[in-house]
Amino acid sequence: MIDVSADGSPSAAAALQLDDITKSFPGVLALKGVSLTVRSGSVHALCGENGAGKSTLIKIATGAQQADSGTIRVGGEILDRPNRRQVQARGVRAIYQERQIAADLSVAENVLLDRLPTRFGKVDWRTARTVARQRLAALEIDLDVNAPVRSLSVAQLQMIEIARAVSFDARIVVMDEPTASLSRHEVEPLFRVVNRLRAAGVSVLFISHHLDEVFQIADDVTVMRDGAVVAQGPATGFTTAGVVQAMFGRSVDISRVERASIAVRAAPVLCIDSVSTGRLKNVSVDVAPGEIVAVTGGVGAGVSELARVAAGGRMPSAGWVSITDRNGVRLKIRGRRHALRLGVGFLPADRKRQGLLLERSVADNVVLGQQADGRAPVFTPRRVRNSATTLAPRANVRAATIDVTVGTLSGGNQQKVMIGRWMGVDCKVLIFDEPTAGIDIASKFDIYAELRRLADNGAAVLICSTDFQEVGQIADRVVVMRSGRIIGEVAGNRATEHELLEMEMST
Amino acid sequence: MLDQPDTASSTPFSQRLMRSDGVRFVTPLVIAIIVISLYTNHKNANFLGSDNIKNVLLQVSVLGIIAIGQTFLIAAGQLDLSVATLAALAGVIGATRINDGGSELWAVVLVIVICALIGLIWGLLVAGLRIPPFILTLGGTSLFASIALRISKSSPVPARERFEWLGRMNVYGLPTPIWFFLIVAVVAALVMRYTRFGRHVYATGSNEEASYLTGIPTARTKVLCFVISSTLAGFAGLVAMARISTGDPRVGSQLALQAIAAVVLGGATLAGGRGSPFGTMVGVVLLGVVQSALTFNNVQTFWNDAVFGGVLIFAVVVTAIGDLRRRRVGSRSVMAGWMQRSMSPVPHNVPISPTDPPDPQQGEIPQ
Repeated sequence: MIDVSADGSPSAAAALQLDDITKSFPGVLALKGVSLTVRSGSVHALCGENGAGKSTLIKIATGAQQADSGTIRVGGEILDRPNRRQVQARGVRAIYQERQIAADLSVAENVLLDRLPTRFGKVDWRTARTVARQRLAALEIDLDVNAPVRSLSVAQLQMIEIARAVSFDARIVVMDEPTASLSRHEVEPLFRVVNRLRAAGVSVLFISHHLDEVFQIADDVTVMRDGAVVAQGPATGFTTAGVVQAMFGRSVDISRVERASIAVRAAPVLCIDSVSTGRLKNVSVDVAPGEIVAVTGGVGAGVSELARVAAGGRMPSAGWVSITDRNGVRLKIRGRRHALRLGVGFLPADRKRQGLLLERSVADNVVLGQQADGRAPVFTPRRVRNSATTLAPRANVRAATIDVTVGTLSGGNQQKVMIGRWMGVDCKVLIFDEPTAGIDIASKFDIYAELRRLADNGAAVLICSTDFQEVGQIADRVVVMRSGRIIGEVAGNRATEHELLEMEMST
Repeated sequence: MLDQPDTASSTPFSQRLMRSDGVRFVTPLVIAIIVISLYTNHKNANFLGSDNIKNVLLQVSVLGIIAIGQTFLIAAGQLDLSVATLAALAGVIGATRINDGGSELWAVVLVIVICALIGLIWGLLVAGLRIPPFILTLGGTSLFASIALRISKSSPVPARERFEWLGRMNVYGLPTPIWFFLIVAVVAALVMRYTRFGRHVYATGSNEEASYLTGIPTARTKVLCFVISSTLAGFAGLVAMARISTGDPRVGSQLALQAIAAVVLGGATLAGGRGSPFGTMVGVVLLGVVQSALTFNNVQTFWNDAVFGGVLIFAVVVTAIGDLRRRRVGSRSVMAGWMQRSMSPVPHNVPISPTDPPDPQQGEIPQ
């Protein structure tokens, strides 16, 4: 254990102090004596691989779960196995990954929620708006308090939740992967708000998978592995490589892997030809067999929409997507099902809502592609099991058995289940929308290896991603979009973050 | 180390069986049926006599056929409230046709075709225009009731022919309605379990968006479910009519809700993705046994609905508790937290060997 901090004793400056927390679930010790101190007015980052115990720790700190042993001090006061309400009453507020927002109400109502000011039992809207406006202004959040929440972006909703937490006099704000659902442009405003909180003496404890963010914002860092703290101390005492090493107990090579170049580029199999929709404007992209092409851009670039159109999930208003079949004949895609019949596999960004049957088993999920594609009317349970026992290992899915409910797997493994789904169908084209959203670093590189393997076996791979780092790491060619248009293309080995940002910003 | 996947293995069959939805949901129903039967039989030995068993099955056969159709819909995340009045309408049309001088077969075919078309329309409206089936079929309920009253001029229509083979004939000692119920249930069970269509139904009900994006014909699946359900409702209506040789426009107004209740008793959730014809069949039989037991125990009839409601509420609460216990820690329901503290959590993943403890949070083997 690398203990960089000199001071482990309880101090008056500790806003939240967890001491020797243990927690076990049947068969597993999830937390093995974890201690962590969040100083007043500081930002504390919690890092670790999926399954390291971060979420469990956060749940215990916010009273959503109770520790088996250990003490929790909030502002110096010792709480015995507190529940959520007790913790909240002492100013600890949690902001989860799922937004806690009433979508049909206004911004003002969502900021104040159950604390709307009333006069004679009637809501005093004028005061409500004024108070909400003040709350937002105090955090330098630029939002119209009258706007219906439905019209806002995920990032803006998160801001509302932060403003709400603070309006409940939060002294400690706990955020579970606050940047996971944000695009790069939305992270900056979030961090400005976090800085305002820190300046106002509020402590922030957050989980992040993005180490560059950790170093950008955090004062202190705690790294967990297998339910224990493996490194802890001021952020200045760490390097990215050091944190990664601590997280995985080994060094992980995060440099670009060069693929054997495709000497003669084969004729493209996927052709996106002058496609337009409400958001896309005249977009054309070709992908050849064995090639990994990435389409990237910032918010509003329409990258995700392009993925959906390419997969046949949405029909363009102009232009078309076509697939070249075995005989060299080009066939226009007429819909998602038709695309599948032509060999197009699609992995949507939102695995939970658009990708998986969350409550069903790994087996049921991994055979879904075959099940959709096949034409024979009979599909027996035995066949499901036989297929699943070959597909799941081929995609390197790590699960106890194929009968595990897929919703309980980590993001990385869920993504592998979805990759496995398309291995059963013999896809010529694979379209990934944000292939590693919400996936920890080690699993990310697993997924990249998986992608390269698919391409090496002759699949045409199209990646739609807003992660510039990722794009530079895996793509052979990178196409950059802005506001629904293609603004340039660059070879993969030249697609550095810097280069891509410059392209995107240029006019 | 990442290249040692363990998913080639599967949970032993015995454990899978014990945890399968079928066993989990059907076992309590079977126990309930046995307990109620033995108790009532203890008081009156005629209860388990072959006459009464036959009678119970006969009483529920119309409900059973409708409920099996509803199972397809509910598993696909859909619902049809109009099946009861559609069945009444089917009976009225069937009786009227016969009286106007047609063959029995012709009347049956006509009614089946009409009902299939109605199902097709429901399906196309729901799948094509994304209309919530609840409201749509609620409208249909009133519509069919009105049409049935109009055709029958508001009074039961005695059928001239008797539809013996449909309602009253005995085959191998059992009346034909029971045979129809059993055959429909067995065929439905085979379709749901062994065909691609059956798996599409479950996939669509589990997550329609994901199924669609994978390439499953979700719209077609939903349409087919509506067609199956409406067709079976029409057939059930004909059976009901044949049993009394009368097309009654007001027959079985409770059938739709009872059918849904039976499906839910059998392990389905209205959210979709779950439910089995076998479970539904047992649920239907349980409703019949309860009904008969009330009569045998001389319970006054106004308690019937209360008992029916009580059975349903009890069943869904027990199911919900079972689900909570299965669900992983971290659920944000208040009840879940309470359950976790008050009951010992049940591990869901049973490891293949004792040296591979599953991670309850991730469901993966820690490496």
